[in-house]
Amino acid sequence: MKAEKVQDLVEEHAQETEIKSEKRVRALVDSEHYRDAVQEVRDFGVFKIITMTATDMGDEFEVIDHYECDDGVVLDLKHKIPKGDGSLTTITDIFPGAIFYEREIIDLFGIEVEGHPDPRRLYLADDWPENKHPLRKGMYNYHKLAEKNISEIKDIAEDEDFEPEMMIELEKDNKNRKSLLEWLENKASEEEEE
Amino acid sequence: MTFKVPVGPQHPALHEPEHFKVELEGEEIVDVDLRLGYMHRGIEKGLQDRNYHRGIYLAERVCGICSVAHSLSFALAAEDIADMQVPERADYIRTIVAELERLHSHILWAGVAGEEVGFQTLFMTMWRDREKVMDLLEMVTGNRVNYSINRVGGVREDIEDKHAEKILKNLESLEEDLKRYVEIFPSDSTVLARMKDKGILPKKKAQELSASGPVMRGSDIKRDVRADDPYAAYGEIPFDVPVETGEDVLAKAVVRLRECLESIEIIRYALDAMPEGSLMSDEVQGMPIGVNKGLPVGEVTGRVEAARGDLMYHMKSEGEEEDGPSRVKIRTPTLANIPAVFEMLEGESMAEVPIVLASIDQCFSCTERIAIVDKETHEKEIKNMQELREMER
Repeated sequence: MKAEKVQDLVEEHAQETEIKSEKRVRALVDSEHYRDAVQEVRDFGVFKIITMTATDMGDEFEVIDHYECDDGVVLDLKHKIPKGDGSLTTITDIFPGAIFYEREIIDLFGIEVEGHPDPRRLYLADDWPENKHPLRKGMYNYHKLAEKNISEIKDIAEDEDFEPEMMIELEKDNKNRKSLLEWLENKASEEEEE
Repeated sequence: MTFKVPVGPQHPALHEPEHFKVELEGEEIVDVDLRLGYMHRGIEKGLQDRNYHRGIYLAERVCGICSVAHSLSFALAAEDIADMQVPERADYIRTIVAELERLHSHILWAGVAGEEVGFQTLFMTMWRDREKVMDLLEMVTGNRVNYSINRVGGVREDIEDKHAEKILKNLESLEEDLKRYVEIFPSDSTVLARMKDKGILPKKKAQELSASGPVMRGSDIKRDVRADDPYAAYGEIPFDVPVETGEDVLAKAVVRLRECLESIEIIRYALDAMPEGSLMSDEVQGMPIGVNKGLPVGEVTGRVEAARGDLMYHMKSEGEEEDGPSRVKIRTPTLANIPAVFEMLEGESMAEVPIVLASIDQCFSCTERIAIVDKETHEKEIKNMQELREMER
């Protein structure tokens, strides 16, 4: 199956399609047409689902299904889910092999999957807090922040999304910046009182 | 009435930490459930915090057995984003090392399979013969595991004439051994009793459940990333993709052993056809390993055929001002084969559990990469390096 043929297959349901290279096709669909596109792919006899990649894009999630078509052509079918009330619709009835990939997304991103037959935890420990999802991106990369100097960190810490506890954890063993640590601890306890 | 029998996470027959709940009616398996998560290390998250040159060393440590496959697909993805041309000689060296890795992994598996069916001698002799490949890997790369041969833009070590000589010599004796094993497996009564018609995965089911690698090829589906979507030097090397029609555990074993013979041919051809030239792309030539260098905006999917099946790296770069990738998704073959193993187990008896599970050559350290320690709620568990060292004593 040539890349052009794969492109034709999803063209009808997609907002945009693109042939990246000889063996790679990319398509963007909206959530409404997502299942139609997947069904089309299946009906045509596309071989298998390789996996699903979710990415935290800030205000929305991007989910890419990777399908292996004939002759090693890979179709990346992308669609977007708004954060908050958005949810993914299951495709396990069309591709039963997707069951673990969807569970992985539920577990690590906290995206709800409508109609999933077995939406249990896959990787995380049983006592892992319900509302924490490791691969969601926080507002700040605290490891990178820690490389900045004290006044810069203090400036950024004024932002309400900043979590002083995360920074304290990184600074705890830094003997040279005791003043910053104290300042952060003060800030953390102030926030707690509020 | 049914009984639930827990298998694992610590179990003498399975050398991987996973927990299966097997539901039995009499001796017959009616349902299987799986709990993953004993090997979480947070590698996908970790890759987002590293630049490309450091990331490849972490990617390599996803799995000790298929480390070349991981570093290679990471490198392929990064090179694709950077639009970087890798020298031909480097492509050939990558191919040779990747095939050596496939050899050692398949022989290791066949030995373990021998042990699972109670054929200890087979286990011992296969692992003895595997040492011939391990010696070669150590000679070429300097390491027995985590070879660190691949870098973004090329390879780290050359294969010289004296190495090629030793490789050919060891492969010749290994080929003799392997030919013997290819005969033993489908004819020996112990192997037949435990592997023939056990763990059946029908062709239709294999496709439906999106199985991968030798598990799929044992069910008569001819798919191999090396042939379908050639990378490194595979496009220039003629080779065959072995398939078996048996659909049982034996078919999966024979596929792996025949792949070994094919790998030997690939290495011979590659050693002969390998052109002279540099090992690293001009763009990164002479750059220190830890250097900070971002890549242009891009999103690519890199695929490699690892020993256990197709391995995929999806990589996204936000632009040159970022040191490293903004998202790396790793899909390892074991996760793809788990729905298939459920299918294979149903209807079998409890005694077949170890060999049927082993037949997908499961590797759970690959499968479970993602986790971080929650610093807020698990505060007591966080130890610094000094404390860890003290605990060690």
